[in-house]
Amino acid sequence: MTENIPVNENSLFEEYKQTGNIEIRNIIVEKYYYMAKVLANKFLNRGVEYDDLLQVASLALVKAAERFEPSMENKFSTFATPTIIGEIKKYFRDKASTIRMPRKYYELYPSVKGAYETLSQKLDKPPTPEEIADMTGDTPEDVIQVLEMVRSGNITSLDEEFDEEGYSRMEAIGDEDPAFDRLETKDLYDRALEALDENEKRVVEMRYRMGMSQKNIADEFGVSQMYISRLEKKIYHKMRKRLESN
Amino acid sequence: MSIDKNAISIEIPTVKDYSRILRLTAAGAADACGFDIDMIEDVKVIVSEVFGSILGTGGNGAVFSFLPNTGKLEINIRTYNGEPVLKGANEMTLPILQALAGSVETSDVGGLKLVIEK
Repeated sequence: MTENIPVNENSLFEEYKQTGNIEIRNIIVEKYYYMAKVLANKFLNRGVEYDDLLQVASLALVKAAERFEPSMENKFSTFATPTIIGEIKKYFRDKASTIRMPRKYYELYPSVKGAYETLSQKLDKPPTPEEIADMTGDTPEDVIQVLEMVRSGNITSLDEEFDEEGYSRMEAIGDEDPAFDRLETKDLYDRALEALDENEKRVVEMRYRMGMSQKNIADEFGVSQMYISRLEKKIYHKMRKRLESN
Repeated sequence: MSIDKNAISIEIPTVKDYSRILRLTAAGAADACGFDIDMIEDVKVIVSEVFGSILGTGGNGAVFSFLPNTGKLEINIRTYNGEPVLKGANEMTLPILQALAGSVETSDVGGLKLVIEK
């Protein structure tokens, strides 16, 4: 069958329209796959991993290939680009509401703040966004956005004074008592951990003991941030179920 | 191209790294329009696309002028050398701009006007 497939762009689409041959559609998709990659790249840094964006863009590309009318004057790229962008934006609206940008910046805030303080002491001057970004592994643009959100009040600093006597939110929260923590929670923690497999235990260790972000854990495991987010929910339910059964 | 007295204008040389400065300015202007985070990000993609096109022409720079209004952002762009702003665009640039901006108009002197509305 492959040897009869036309090579010209329009004849590919015409042949596909007439025959519905999936093999031809796949050749079209392969030919224009670069568009899915380019467009997925345009929507990075919005709290969704590249792999997930590429998957959405690729499915949209398939849809576009199936719907394209070669008799129309438009080129396929002109037709497919808004289709793919539309699907990516729909994905952001429908599926990614829990990992939108604000959350991303909320997650970045502690590491940016920590780096700011460490570098201020080390350099004996306020660090630049680039220096903070080097330390946290984020982009300077993200660092600036986080600092801007703090300034605009979208993120409330724990150091901010919240009453007339100058007490900060951090002081109001108070310190954890490590001894209490050891005595009261270690037993519960160990029992809840028994419900988890080795990978899940490793995620708990990285997330809550080592303080790693979901993104860093995802990178460590070679999976998407969404996967770690879902796994965390699963871990939470398993641990809670184990404690309830005890 | 006349520039409104309430517009925020930035003259930007064709230095690839300056794209970040342009994106931040655009984000600030979009924020002043009351756009949500997604729309602000769209505006950043739009200006990056246009700047990428200008970089592709090999010219020495451009003027981006942002006119924020409630729920509406107008962006006017012209190159220093008068070359059409989208001269260096690739096949996807215009469809991307059309998909993300409500209105894309090219002027007869090579300028580009984009309007993004809530």
